[in-house]
Amino acid sequence: MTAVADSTTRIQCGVVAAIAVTAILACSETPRDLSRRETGAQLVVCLEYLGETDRPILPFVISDSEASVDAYIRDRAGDRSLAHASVTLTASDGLACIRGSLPALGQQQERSSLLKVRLWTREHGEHCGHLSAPDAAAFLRAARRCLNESSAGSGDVLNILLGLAERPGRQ
Amino acid sequence: MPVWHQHAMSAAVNKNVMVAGQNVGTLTLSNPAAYSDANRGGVTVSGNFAGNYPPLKSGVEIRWVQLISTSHPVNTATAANTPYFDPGELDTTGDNDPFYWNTGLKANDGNNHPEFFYKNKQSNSGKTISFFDEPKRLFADKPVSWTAELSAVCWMPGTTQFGILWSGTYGFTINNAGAVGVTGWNELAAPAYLTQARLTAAFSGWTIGNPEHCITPEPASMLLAAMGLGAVGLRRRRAVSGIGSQEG
Repeated sequence: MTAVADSTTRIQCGVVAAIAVTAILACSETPRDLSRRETGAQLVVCLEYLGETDRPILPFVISDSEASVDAYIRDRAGDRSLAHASVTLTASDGLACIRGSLPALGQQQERSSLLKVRLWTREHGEHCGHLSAPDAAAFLRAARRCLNESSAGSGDVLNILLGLAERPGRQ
Repeated sequence: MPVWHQHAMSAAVNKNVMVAGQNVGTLTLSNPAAYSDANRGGVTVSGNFAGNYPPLKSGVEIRWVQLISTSHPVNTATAANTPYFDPGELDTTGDNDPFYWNTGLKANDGNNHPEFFYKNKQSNSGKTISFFDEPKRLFADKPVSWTAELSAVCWMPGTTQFGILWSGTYGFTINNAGAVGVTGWNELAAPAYLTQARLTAAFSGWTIGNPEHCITPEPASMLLAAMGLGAVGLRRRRAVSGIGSQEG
């Protein structure tokens, strides 16, 4: 497994001021099974916490290529939250491991939804679904293992999400 | 499907902040904008403080302090509608300082959190620091009220004292019908939530000091002080030489 550089990079918010006036593009939430369509290289996975917050819990973007992340951000230019996202680059097999850990995603955001998962490729654009707290916790634990093996230190944001998913009353 | 209330980033607050007659920096804060998705409502606000060095002393840093009073507290044992420091004391991504952004890279959970580290919020060689918040509460908890009191403060690293430069409030509500309402900036002559008693209770040993400690004296003041010292020295020398001549 090739460890890819670190990269919890910050996307500067200055850009957002300029693009914030553009319309927000919502991800398509089609009723089909998203489970295995967006696979392989150049996939971008974006995890977004859906619970209550005071200080922002930022979206967490994972990919195996900086170019893919840049393309994703450009594609989602109207999405303010992405401008503050934490970005982690991992090895392709780490990304495949995360993708393989995803359970079936709920199509509708429900009261029990804790995590929004966005999957993006250049070819298919973005699709998203939702995970309840127990499913989110199981997935995040698996994703943390995938990342720990491929990019040291990148599990910090996952730990925040995991802590929230495992909070008493959530499970 | 997420619904975003889009607002242009118009600055609701854009002003020079003065301390003892000197301009210590420019504060810019966006107009608070309503946020909502399928489950949650809230408010989005961003901005920055661009410090002027001098008059700010070299080494002094600008930080944010935010306290929240809400019907639905998060990550704190504080009762409803009672101000608490943001992040709350139960938020393990926070640290042991009273500031909004963490002072260190490592938080209380033992992990690095570059997304909350204040140094990562600085630009212009550390002279400018940004602010961003997007608090959210569940529609299921309606009715909800949430008010924040934000203060820009000056602080010398290594000390446990800061001076307040500016304070203002903003917030949001979710009414019984699930509608999100936003309360815009209300600038305060002095903070109401951020008191010495509340600071001591949450962060023992920390004090609110005079912001004049963060600035260098004006050139005119320094000239006057120098003249005063000179005059004292001259008088002393005359007195000493007078005594000497009597003795001689």
